Amino acid sequence: MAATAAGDRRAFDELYLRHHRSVFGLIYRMTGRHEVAEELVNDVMLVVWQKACTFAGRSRVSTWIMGVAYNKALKAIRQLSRRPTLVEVEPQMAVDPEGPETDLSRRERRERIREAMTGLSAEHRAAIELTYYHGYSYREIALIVGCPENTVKTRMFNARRRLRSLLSQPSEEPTEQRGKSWSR
Amino acid sequence: MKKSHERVAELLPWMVNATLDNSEDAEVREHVSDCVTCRDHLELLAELYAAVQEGPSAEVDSFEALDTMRLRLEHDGAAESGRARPRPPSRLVRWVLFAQAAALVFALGLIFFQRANPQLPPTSFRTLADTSPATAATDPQARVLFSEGATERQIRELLHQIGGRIVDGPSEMGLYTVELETDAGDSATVVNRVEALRHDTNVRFVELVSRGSLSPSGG
Repeated sequence: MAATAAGDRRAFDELYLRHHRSVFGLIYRMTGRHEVAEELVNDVMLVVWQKACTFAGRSRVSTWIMGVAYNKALKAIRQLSRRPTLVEVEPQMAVDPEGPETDLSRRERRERIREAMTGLSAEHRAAIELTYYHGYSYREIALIVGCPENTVKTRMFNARRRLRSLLSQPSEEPTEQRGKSWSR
Repeated sequence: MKKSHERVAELLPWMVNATLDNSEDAEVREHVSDCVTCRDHLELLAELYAAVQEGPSAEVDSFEALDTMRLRLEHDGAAESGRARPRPPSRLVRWVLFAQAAALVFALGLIFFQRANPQLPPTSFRTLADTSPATAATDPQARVLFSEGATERQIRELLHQIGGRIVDGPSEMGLYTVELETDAGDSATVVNRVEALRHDTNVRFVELVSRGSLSPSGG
Protein backbone atom coordinates (compact mmCIF):
# COMPACT_ATOMS: atom_id res chain seq x y z
CA MET A 1 0.00 0.00 0.00
CA ALA A 2 2.85 2.36 0.83
CA ALA A 3 4.41 1.65 -2.56
CA THR A 4 1.11 2.39 -4.28
CA ALA A 5 0.88 5.63 -2.33
CA ALA A 6 4.35 6.49 -3.65
CA GLY A 7 3.11 6.02 -7.21
CA ASP A 8 4.46 2.54 -7.88
CA ARG A 9 2.35 1.14 -10.72
CA ARG A 10 3.47 -2.44 -10.20
CA ALA A 11 2.47 -2.29 -6.56
CA PHE A 12 -0.90 -0.97 -7.64
CA ASP A 13 -1.33 -3.81 -10.14
CA GLU A 14 -0.69 -6.28 -7.34
CA LEU A 15 -3.15 -4.51 -5.06
CA TYR A 16 -5.69 -4.46 -7.85
CA LEU A 17 -5.47 -8.19 -8.53
CA ARG A 18 -5.63 -8.99 -4.82
CA HIS A 19 -8.84 -7.07 -4.16
CA HIS A 20 -10.60 -6.99 -7.51
CA ARG A 21 -12.84 -10.00 -6.97
CA SER A 22 -13.95 -8.93 -3.50
CA VAL A 23 -14.77 -5.42 -4.66
CA PHE A 24 -16.58 -6.73 -7.70
CA GLY A 25 -18.48 -9.25 -5.56
CA LEU A 26 -19.71 -6.64 -3.09
CA ILE A 27 -20.86 -4.22 -5.78
CA TYR A 28 -22.43 -6.95 -7.86
CA ARG A 29 -24.35 -8.34 -4.93
CA MET A 30 -25.44 -4.92 -3.74
CA THR A 31 -26.58 -3.70 -7.15
CA GLY A 32 -27.45 -7.00 -8.77
CA ARG A 33 -26.04 -5.76 -12.05
CA HIS A 34 -23.00 -7.17 -13.74
CA GLU A 35 -22.34 -4.19 -16.00
CA VAL A 36 -22.65 -1.74 -13.12
CA ALA A 37 -20.23 -3.79 -11.03
CA GLU A 38 -17.78 -3.95 -13.93
CA GLU A 39 -17.81 -0.20 -14.30
CA LEU A 40 -17.79 0.67 -10.63
CA VAL A 41 -15.00 -1.69 -9.67
CA ASN A 42 -12.55 0.41 -11.68
CA ASP A 43 -14.01 3.62 -10.26
CA VAL A 44 -13.23 2.19 -6.84
CA MET A 45 -9.70 1.20 -7.81
CA LEU A 46 -9.09 4.62 -9.35
CA VAL A 47 -9.95 6.17 -5.99
CA VAL A 48 -7.59 3.70 -4.33
CA TRP A 49 -4.81 4.76 -6.72
CA GLN A 50 -5.42 8.45 -6.23
CA LYS A 51 -6.09 8.43 -2.49
CA ALA A 52 -3.65 5.75 -1.38
CA CYS A 53 -1.58 8.33 0.48
CA THR A 54 -4.58 9.21 2.64
CA PHE A 55 -4.81 5.66 3.98
CA ALA A 56 -3.89 6.11 7.64
CA GLY A 57 -3.52 2.44 8.53
CA ARG A 58 -6.28 2.51 11.13
CA SER A 59 -7.88 -0.54 9.51
CA ARG A 60 -6.89 -3.33 7.18
CA VAL A 61 -6.30 -2.29 3.59
CA SER A 62 -9.13 -4.55 2.45
CA THR A 63 -11.52 -2.89 4.90
CA TRP A 64 -10.59 0.53 3.56
CA ILE A 65 -11.04 -0.54 -0.05
CA MET A 66 -14.35 -2.22 0.72
CA GLY A 67 -15.48 1.02 2.35
CA VAL A 68 -14.81 2.84 -0.90
CA ALA A 69 -16.67 0.11 -2.79
CA TYR A 70 -19.62 0.23 -0.38
CA ASN A 71 -20.06 3.97 -0.85
CA LYS A 72 -19.77 3.72 -4.64
CA ALA A 73 -22.34 0.92 -4.74
CA LEU A 74 -24.73 2.76 -2.44
CA LYS A 75 -24.49 5.87 -4.61
CA ALA A 76 -25.10 3.83 -7.75
CA ILE A 77 -28.16 2.19 -6.21
CA ARG A 78 -29.60 5.58 -5.32
CA GLN A 79 -28.93 6.83 -8.83
CA LEU A 80 -30.56 3.79 -10.33
CA SER A 81 -33.56 4.48 -8.07
CA ARG A 82 -34.62 0.92 -8.18
CA ARG A 83 -34.00 -2.25 -6.39
CA PRO A 84 -31.45 -4.57 -7.85
CA THR A 85 -32.57 -7.24 -10.20
CA LEU A 86 -32.03 -10.77 -9.08
CA VAL A 87 -29.40 -12.07 -11.41
CA GLU A 88 -30.20 -15.48 -12.72
CA VAL A 89 -27.04 -17.41 -12.32
CA GLU A 90 -26.96 -21.10 -11.69
CA PRO A 91 -26.33 -21.55 -7.99
CA GLN A 92 -23.64 -23.85 -6.83
CA MET A 93 -25.07 -27.34 -6.73
CA ALA A 94 -24.13 -28.80 -3.43
CA VAL A 95 -25.12 -32.42 -3.08
CA ASP A 96 -27.08 -32.99 0.09
CA PRO A 97 -26.17 -36.26 1.79
CA GLU A 98 -29.69 -36.55 3.19
CA GLY A 99 -31.13 -37.23 -0.25
CA PRO A 100 -32.44 -35.47 -3.35
CA GLU A 101 -35.83 -34.59 -1.91
CA THR A 102 -34.45 -32.78 1.13
CA ASP A 103 -31.81 -31.17 -1.05
CA LEU A 104 -34.48 -29.75 -3.38
CA SER A 105 -36.49 -28.41 -0.48
CA ARG A 106 -33.46 -26.72 1.00
CA ARG A 107 -32.45 -25.20 -2.32
CA GLU A 108 -35.89 -23.77 -2.78
CA ARG A 109 -35.87 -22.24 0.67
CA ARG A 110 -32.56 -20.59 0.01
CA GLU A 111 -33.74 -19.28 -3.32
CA ARG A 112 -36.69 -17.79 -1.51
CA ILE A 113 -34.37 -16.12 0.93
CA ARG A 114 -32.31 -14.63 -1.89
CA GLU A 115 -35.46 -13.40 -3.54
CA ALA A 116 -36.64 -11.85 -0.28
CA MET A 117 -33.29 -10.11 0.10
CA THR A 118 -34.08 -7.98 -2.95
CA GLY A 119 -36.87 -6.46 -0.87
CA LEU A 120 -34.42 -5.13 1.69
CA SER A 121 -32.91 -1.68 1.66
CA ALA A 122 -29.44 -1.30 0.21
CA GLU A 123 -27.97 -0.76 3.68
CA HIS A 124 -29.62 -3.89 5.10
CA ARG A 125 -28.61 -5.97 2.11
CA ALA A 126 -25.05 -4.70 2.31
CA ALA A 127 -24.86 -5.63 6.00
CA ILE A 128 -25.90 -9.17 5.17
CA GLU A 129 -23.55 -9.48 2.20
CA LEU A 130 -20.60 -8.09 4.15
CA THR A 131 -21.29 -10.54 6.96
CA TYR A 132 -22.10 -13.72 5.06
CA TYR A 133 -20.45 -13.33 1.66
CA HIS A 134 -17.30 -11.52 2.71
CA GLY A 135 -17.13 -12.79 6.29
CA TYR A 136 -16.50 -9.50 8.05
CA SER A 137 -16.98 -8.93 11.77
CA TYR A 138 -19.37 -6.22 12.90
CA ARG A 139 -16.38 -4.09 13.89
CA GLU A 140 -14.96 -4.28 10.37
CA ILE A 141 -18.36 -3.57 8.85
CA ALA A 142 -18.62 -0.46 11.00
CA LEU A 143 -15.36 0.75 9.48
CA ILE A 144 -16.45 -0.12 5.96
CA VAL A 145 -19.83 1.57 6.06
CA GLY A 146 -18.62 4.37 8.31
CA CYS A 147 -20.99 4.09 11.25
CA PRO A 148 -20.83 3.03 14.93
CA GLU A 149 -20.65 -0.67 15.75
CA ASN A 150 -24.01 -0.57 17.52
CA THR A 151 -25.58 0.82 14.37
CA VAL A 152 -24.27 -2.18 12.45
CA LYS A 153 -25.77 -4.56 15.02
CA THR A 154 -29.11 -2.76 14.95
CA ARG A 155 -29.08 -2.62 11.18
CA MET A 156 -28.45 -6.34 10.94
CA PHE A 157 -31.14 -7.06 13.53
CA ASN A 158 -33.66 -5.00 11.59
CA ALA A 159 -32.56 -6.60 8.33
CA ARG A 160 -33.34 -10.09 9.54
CA ARG A 161 -36.62 -8.97 11.09
CA ARG A 162 -37.59 -7.47 7.74
CA LEU A 163 -36.43 -10.60 5.99
CA ARG A 164 -38.52 -12.76 8.27
CA SER A 165 -41.50 -10.56 7.48
CA LEU A 166 -40.92 -10.89 3.74
CA LEU A 167 -40.52 -14.64 4.02
CA SER A 168 -43.79 -14.98 5.92
CA GLN A 169 -45.69 -13.41 3.05
CA PRO A 170 -47.35 -15.89 0.69
CA SER A 171 -45.20 -16.68 -2.30
CA GLU A 172 -46.47 -16.19 -5.85
CA GLU A 173 -45.61 -19.76 -6.63
CA PRO A 174 -46.30 -21.78 -3.51
CA THR A 175 -44.50 -25.02 -3.30
CA GLU A 176 -45.77 -27.90 -1.25
CA GLN A 177 -42.27 -28.90 -0.43
CA ARG A 178 -41.47 -25.50 1.06
CA GLY A 179 -42.94 -26.56 4.34
CA LYS A 180 -40.79 -24.25 6.46
CA SER A 181 -42.30 -21.30 8.25
CA TRP A 182 -40.23 -18.19 8.97
CA SER A 183 -43.08 -16.25 10.49
CA ARG A 184 -42.22 -16.60 14.13
CA MET B 1 -31.76 -11.28 31.61
CA LYS B 2 -33.76 -9.34 29.04
CA LYS B 3 -30.88 -6.98 28.46
CA SER B 4 -28.55 -9.91 28.00
CA HIS B 5 -30.98 -11.46 25.50
CA GLU B 6 -31.12 -8.30 23.43
CA ARG B 7 -27.37 -7.99 23.42
CA VAL B 8 -26.88 -11.59 22.38
CA ALA B 9 -29.61 -11.35 19.76
CA GLU B 10 -27.66 -8.56 18.10
CA LEU B 11 -24.48 -10.61 18.10
CA LEU B 12 -26.02 -13.77 16.63
CA PRO B 13 -25.21 -12.97 12.97
CA TRP B 14 -21.51 -12.90 13.74
CA MET B 15 -21.63 -16.09 15.76
CA VAL B 16 -22.69 -17.75 12.51
CA ASN B 17 -19.76 -16.36 10.53
CA ALA B 18 -17.42 -17.03 13.45
CA THR B 19 -16.01 -13.51 13.81
CA LEU B 20 -16.94 -12.86 17.45
CA ASP B 21 -14.11 -12.63 19.89
CA ASN B 22 -13.78 -15.41 22.47
CA SER B 23 -15.66 -13.74 25.30
CA GLU B 24 -18.54 -12.71 23.04
CA ASP B 25 -18.74 -16.16 21.52
CA ALA B 26 -18.83 -17.81 24.93
CA GLU B 27 -21.56 -15.45 26.13
CA VAL B 28 -23.68 -16.09 23.06
CA ARG B 29 -23.31 -19.86 23.25
CA GLU B 30 -24.26 -19.91 26.89
CA HIS B 31 -27.35 -17.81 26.27
CA VAL B 32 -28.47 -19.72 23.19
CA SER B 33 -28.38 -23.03 25.06
CA ASP B 34 -31.26 -21.76 27.23
CA CYS B 35 -33.09 -19.43 24.81
CA VAL B 36 -35.52 -20.93 22.31
CA THR B 37 -36.06 -17.58 20.53
CA CYS B 38 -32.37 -17.13 19.88
CA ARG B 39 -32.06 -20.70 18.63
CA ASP B 40 -34.86 -19.97 16.19
CA HIS B 41 -33.04 -16.84 15.03
CA LEU B 42 -29.87 -18.84 14.63
CA GLU B 43 -31.70 -21.28 12.39
CA LEU B 44 -32.78 -18.48 10.07
CA LEU B 45 -29.32 -16.93 10.10
CA ALA B 46 -27.72 -20.25 9.22
CA GLU B 47 -30.08 -20.53 6.25
CA LEU B 48 -29.34 -16.94 5.32
CA TYR B 49 -25.62 -17.63 5.48
CA ALA B 50 -26.01 -20.64 3.20
CA ALA B 51 -28.30 -18.72 0.84
CA VAL B 52 -25.77 -15.93 0.47
CA GLN B 53 -22.87 -18.32 0.06
CA GLU B 54 -24.68 -20.30 -2.61
CA GLY B 55 -26.01 -17.21 -4.31
CA PRO B 56 -25.08 -16.06 -7.75
CA SER B 57 -21.45 -15.26 -8.13
CA ALA B 58 -20.65 -13.67 -11.42
CA GLU B 59 -17.50 -14.75 -13.15
CA VAL B 60 -15.08 -11.94 -13.70
CA ASP B 61 -11.63 -11.83 -15.23
CA SER B 62 -9.41 -9.74 -12.98
CA PHE B 63 -6.54 -9.56 -15.48
CA GLU B 64 -8.80 -8.31 -18.25
CA ALA B 65 -10.26 -5.75 -15.86
CA LEU B 66 -6.75 -4.66 -14.91
CA ASP B 67 -5.93 -4.05 -18.59
CA THR B 68 -8.99 -1.80 -18.81
CA MET B 69 -7.85 -0.04 -15.66
CA ARG B 70 -4.39 0.60 -17.11
CA LEU B 71 -5.88 2.10 -20.25
CA ARG B 72 -8.07 4.29 -18.13
CA LEU B 73 -5.16 5.53 -16.06
CA GLU B 74 -3.23 6.40 -19.20
CA HIS B 75 -6.21 8.03 -20.84
CA ASP B 76 -7.20 10.08 -17.79
CA GLY B 77 -3.64 11.25 -17.31
CA ALA B 78 -3.72 9.94 -13.77
CA ALA B 79 -0.90 7.47 -14.36
CA GLU B 80 1.73 9.73 -12.91
CA SER B 81 -0.35 10.70 -9.96
CA GLY B 82 -0.25 7.70 -7.71
CA ARG B 83 -1.38 9.83 -4.86
CA ALA B 84 -4.06 12.29 -4.06
CA ARG B 85 -3.77 15.27 -6.30
CA PRO B 86 -3.38 18.42 -4.26
CA ARG B 87 -6.49 20.48 -4.03
CA PRO B 88 -6.37 23.67 -6.06
CA PRO B 89 -5.32 26.57 -3.85
CA SER B 90 -7.99 28.86 -2.48
CA ARG B 91 -8.53 32.30 -3.98
CA LEU B 92 -6.61 33.97 -1.13
CA VAL B 93 -3.67 31.58 -1.52
CA ARG B 94 -3.65 32.13 -5.28
CA TRP B 95 -3.62 35.92 -4.74
CA VAL B 96 -0.73 35.70 -2.27
CA LEU B 97 1.22 33.49 -4.66
CA PHE B 98 0.59 35.96 -7.48
CA ALA B 99 1.75 38.89 -5.33
CA GLN B 100 4.89 37.03 -4.35
CA ALA B 101 5.61 36.21 -7.98
CA ALA B 102 5.08 39.84 -8.99
CA ALA B 103 7.42 41.06 -6.23
CA LEU B 104 10.04 38.56 -7.33
CA VAL B 105 9.79 39.70 -10.96
CA PHE B 106 10.11 43.35 -9.85
CA ALA B 107 13.17 42.60 -7.71
CA LEU B 108 14.83 40.67 -10.53
CA GLY B 109 14.03 43.49 -12.95
CA LEU B 110 15.57 46.04 -10.59
CA ILE B 111 18.74 43.97 -10.24
CA PHE B 112 18.94 43.57 -14.01
CA PHE B 113 18.42 47.31 -14.53
CA GLN B 114 21.13 48.25 -12.07
CA ARG B 115 23.60 45.83 -13.64
CA ALA B 116 22.78 47.21 -17.08
CA ASN B 117 23.41 50.82 -15.88
CA PRO B 118 26.46 50.66 -13.62
CA GLN B 119 27.37 54.34 -14.21
CA LEU B 120 24.38 55.61 -12.30
CA PRO B 121 25.48 57.21 -9.04
CA PRO B 122 23.92 56.09 -5.84
CA THR B 123 20.92 58.14 -4.95
CA SER B 124 21.06 60.42 -1.97
CA PHE B 125 18.25 62.32 -0.36
CA ARG B 126 18.55 65.69 1.38
CA THR B 127 16.09 68.03 2.95
CA LEU B 128 15.76 71.51 1.43
CA ALA B 129 17.08 73.09 4.63
CA ASP B 130 20.20 71.02 4.53
CA THR B 131 23.11 73.27 3.59
CA SER B 132 25.83 70.72 4.06
CA PRO B 133 27.81 69.58 1.03
CA ALA B 134 26.02 67.02 -1.06
CA THR B 135 28.78 64.51 -1.19
CA ALA B 136 31.06 63.10 1.34
CA ALA B 137 34.16 64.87 0.21
CA THR B 138 37.67 63.82 0.66
CA ASP B 139 38.78 66.88 -1.38
CA PRO B 140 38.14 70.44 -0.09
CA GLN B 141 34.95 72.11 -1.22
CA ALA B 142 34.08 75.75 -1.76
CA ARG B 143 30.73 77.43 -2.05
CA VAL B 144 30.70 79.69 -5.08
CA LEU B 145 28.29 82.33 -6.40
CA PHE B 146 28.95 83.05 -10.03
CA SER B 147 28.12 86.39 -11.67
CA GLU B 148 24.76 86.58 -13.39
CA GLY B 149 26.47 87.33 -16.73
CA ALA B 150 28.88 84.40 -16.53
CA THR B 151 28.37 82.01 -19.39
CA GLU B 152 28.51 78.30 -19.09
CA ARG B 153 31.69 78.25 -21.15
CA GLN B 154 33.41 80.85 -18.90
CA ILE B 155 32.50 78.91 -15.79
CA ARG B 156 33.75 75.67 -17.37
CA GLU B 157 37.09 77.31 -18.27
CA LEU B 158 37.46 78.78 -14.77
CA LEU B 159 36.79 75.43 -13.14
CA HIS B 160 39.29 73.84 -15.49
CA GLN B 161 41.93 76.36 -14.47
CA ILE B 162 41.54 75.76 -10.75
CA GLY B 163 41.00 72.04 -11.10
CA GLY B 164 37.51 72.19 -9.69
CA ARG B 165 34.16 70.63 -10.51
CA ILE B 166 30.65 71.39 -9.49
CA VAL B 167 29.30 68.67 -7.24
CA ASP B 168 26.10 70.37 -6.06
CA GLY B 169 23.86 73.36 -6.67
CA PRO B 170 22.64 75.75 -7.46
CA SER B 171 20.98 76.39 -4.11
CA GLU B 172 18.02 78.77 -3.68
CA MET B 173 20.57 81.58 -3.49
CA GLY B 174 22.39 80.41 -6.61
CA LEU B 175 25.33 78.92 -4.75
CA TYR B 176 27.27 76.03 -6.26
CA THR B 177 29.46 73.61 -4.35
CA VAL B 178 32.76 73.17 -6.09
CA GLU B 179 35.13 70.40 -5.23
CA LEU B 180 38.78 71.34 -5.57
CA GLU B 181 40.98 68.53 -6.70
CA THR B 182 44.27 68.63 -4.87
CA ASP B 183 46.89 66.32 -3.48
CA ALA B 184 46.40 65.32 0.12
CA GLY B 185 48.03 67.74 2.52
CA ASP B 186 48.55 70.44 -0.12
CA SER B 187 46.71 73.22 1.70
CA ALA B 188 48.60 75.99 -0.04
CA THR B 189 47.23 74.97 -3.41
CA VAL B 190 43.71 75.06 -2.04
CA VAL B 191 44.18 78.55 -0.66
CA ASN B 192 45.62 79.71 -3.95
CA ARG B 193 42.72 78.23 -5.89
CA VAL B 194 40.18 79.85 -3.60
CA GLU B 195 41.97 83.13 -4.05
CA ALA B 196 41.95 82.68 -7.82
CA LEU B 197 38.20 82.20 -7.68
CA ARG B 198 37.74 85.35 -5.59
CA HIS B 199 39.65 87.44 -8.08
CA ASP B 200 37.84 86.14 -11.10
CA THR B 201 35.30 88.62 -12.49
CA ASN B 202 32.77 85.86 -13.05
CA VAL B 203 32.67 85.02 -9.33
CA ARG B 204 30.81 87.23 -6.88
CA PHE B 205 31.33 85.17 -3.75
CA VAL B 206 33.42 82.21 -2.62
CA GLU B 207 34.05 80.53 0.71
CA LEU B 208 35.80 77.37 1.70
CA VAL B 209 33.25 75.14 3.40
CA SER B 210 35.15 71.90 3.69
CA ARG B 211 38.79 71.34 4.07
CA GLY B 212 38.50 67.71 3.20
CA SER B 213 41.52 65.78 4.31
CA LEU B 214 43.63 68.92 4.64
CA SER B 215 45.00 69.89 7.98
CA PRO B 216 43.30 72.99 9.51
CA SER B 217 46.59 74.74 9.73
CA GLY B 218 46.83 74.72 5.99
CA GLY B 219 43.89 77.17 5.44
